[in-house]
Amino acid sequence: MFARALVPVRAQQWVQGAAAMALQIALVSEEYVELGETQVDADTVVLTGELLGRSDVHQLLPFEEREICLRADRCIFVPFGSRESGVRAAEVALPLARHLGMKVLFYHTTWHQPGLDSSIPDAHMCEDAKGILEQLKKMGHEGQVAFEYQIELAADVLEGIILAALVHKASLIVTARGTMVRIGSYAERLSGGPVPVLICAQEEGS
Amino acid sequence: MKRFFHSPYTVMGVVLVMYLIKVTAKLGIGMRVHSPMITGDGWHNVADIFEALMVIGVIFFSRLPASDSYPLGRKNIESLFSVLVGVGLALAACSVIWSSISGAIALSAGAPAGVLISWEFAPWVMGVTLGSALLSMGVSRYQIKIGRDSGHEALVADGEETRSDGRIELATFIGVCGEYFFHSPWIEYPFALIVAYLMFKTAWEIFNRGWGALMKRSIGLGHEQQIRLLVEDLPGVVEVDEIKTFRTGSKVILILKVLTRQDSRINRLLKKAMAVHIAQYLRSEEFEDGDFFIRFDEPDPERFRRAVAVHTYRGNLEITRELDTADAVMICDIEHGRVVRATRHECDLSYDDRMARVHWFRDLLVQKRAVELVVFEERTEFGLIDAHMLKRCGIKLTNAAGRDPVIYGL
Repeated sequence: MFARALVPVRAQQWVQGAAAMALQIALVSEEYVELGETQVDADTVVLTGELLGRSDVHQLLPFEEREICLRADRCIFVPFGSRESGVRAAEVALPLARHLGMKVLFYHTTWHQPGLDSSIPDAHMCEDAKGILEQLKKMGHEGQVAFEYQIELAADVLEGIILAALVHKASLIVTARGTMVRIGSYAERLSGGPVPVLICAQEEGS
Repeated sequence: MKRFFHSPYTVMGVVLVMYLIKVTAKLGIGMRVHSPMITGDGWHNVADIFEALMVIGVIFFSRLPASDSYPLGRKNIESLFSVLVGVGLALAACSVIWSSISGAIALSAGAPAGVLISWEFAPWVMGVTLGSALLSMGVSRYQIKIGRDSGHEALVADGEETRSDGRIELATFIGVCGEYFFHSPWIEYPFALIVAYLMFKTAWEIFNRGWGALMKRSIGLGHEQQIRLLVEDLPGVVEVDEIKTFRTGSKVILILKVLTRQDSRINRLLKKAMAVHIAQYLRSEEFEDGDFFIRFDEPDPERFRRAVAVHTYRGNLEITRELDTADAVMICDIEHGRVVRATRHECDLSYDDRMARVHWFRDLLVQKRAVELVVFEERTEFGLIDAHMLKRCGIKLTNAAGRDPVIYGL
């Protein structure tokens, strides 16, 4: 679990929610001002009002939500693609879900496979994405976390993620930056809100 | 095949067949045994055939698509039909009560019972009345189910009327049995009164439902409150500013005005998610169908002016520790919690005359209608004096969380 949280701009109201996530809050005013240069531990999550230009820290953007909603009908939402970013997000999301007693929803939206008539989204998944899904299922079972998964054929990936998160009443989207993405990371584009998002830190060297 | 049996037209076809069977059987047997009661009931069923044809017409008309002239469709014709059925059923209940009371009085005065039929025809008479009752009950269930599934209020209302007919027929059957087996034709009358009560109850339900839709009555404050909570529960929604609900036919019309600070793309997704959640809720509450009109607006920007006391230290702008050490104040116009405009106001007075500087800043803040002044640390002796003085002018002194003005959007 995260050791502590730095609380910068306009995120103070989430302190209560962060406490529920077993975060020790570091409300030292200078820290966020200096955060641009500060070295932080790998298990520190930064509560922030805006996306920070750093990929080495977990960033939690609460937007307008006052706290993480722990109701039974809520879930932690983990979008995944055909690469390892979904697995990295799940590594953060599953312990968090277990701690909070919430279920996890793994979500994937796939591109339509040309020439395939099927309206079943699973049929359009590529082999890599299927492999990631199997890995996520295994992680869910091993972590003893209640989970579901949903595959869709959304017209737009970002809109598909946000809409599915809204429809499934996600309290938090946990995502990680893809290591190969140069422009238009979905993780970063989710920082437009409105569902609170936890963007996982990128491992050193990745 | 399933689609065929779930079509409202198929249901009404079954209803027409039922009435044809009833008319043939009742008129045939009624005339044979010279029973005015059975024959009269047969002619009543002839009238029901015309009513069934009217239901078919109402369903056809209500299914016409919405147009520029009828933006919400023509579903309300079903509500009008329901009101008419409700009134008709109430009148029929009055008629049953009148017949029962007058029949009971006549019987007690020694008049012969209504049905005096020989045992030779007893099985036919009983068969027709009981068969007719069971047929009505069965077909009414089919009508009500398909009516609810397909959202046709007229079909439901007609089904409920058919069920009432079945109850009357059952009371008649009990009366016939009472006459044959116990020589107690009066048994029919108390049963008929119970049936009349049920008819009134059904008539009120049908009338009330139709009337509510015609008058655009709300679907209920409790439902509106639940929908409000569902929508306000979505991330990004500040509040539901306006909610109006009513029904047109069986269809729920919902008009919502939602306040958010999101852009149009997110609002579009929010609208879709709201529609999913509201439709789920309405289905769980046994509403059949719905059209939602959702529009978005920004919440009140909560405009105010904040002053930030600043000075330049080693080339960097910093929030000052106390008011008198500030070079200047930044007067910031705040909307939605963000700075939308900021102006810098330099103080040229000497640093030696602390009170003069403080008064200059105070007067400036009052003139600019600032309600808050931000300094880095107000808990010094001077700071407390400043706070007290500013408070008297309606200005709150706020302790900044850091020295970097970027925290306050500068």
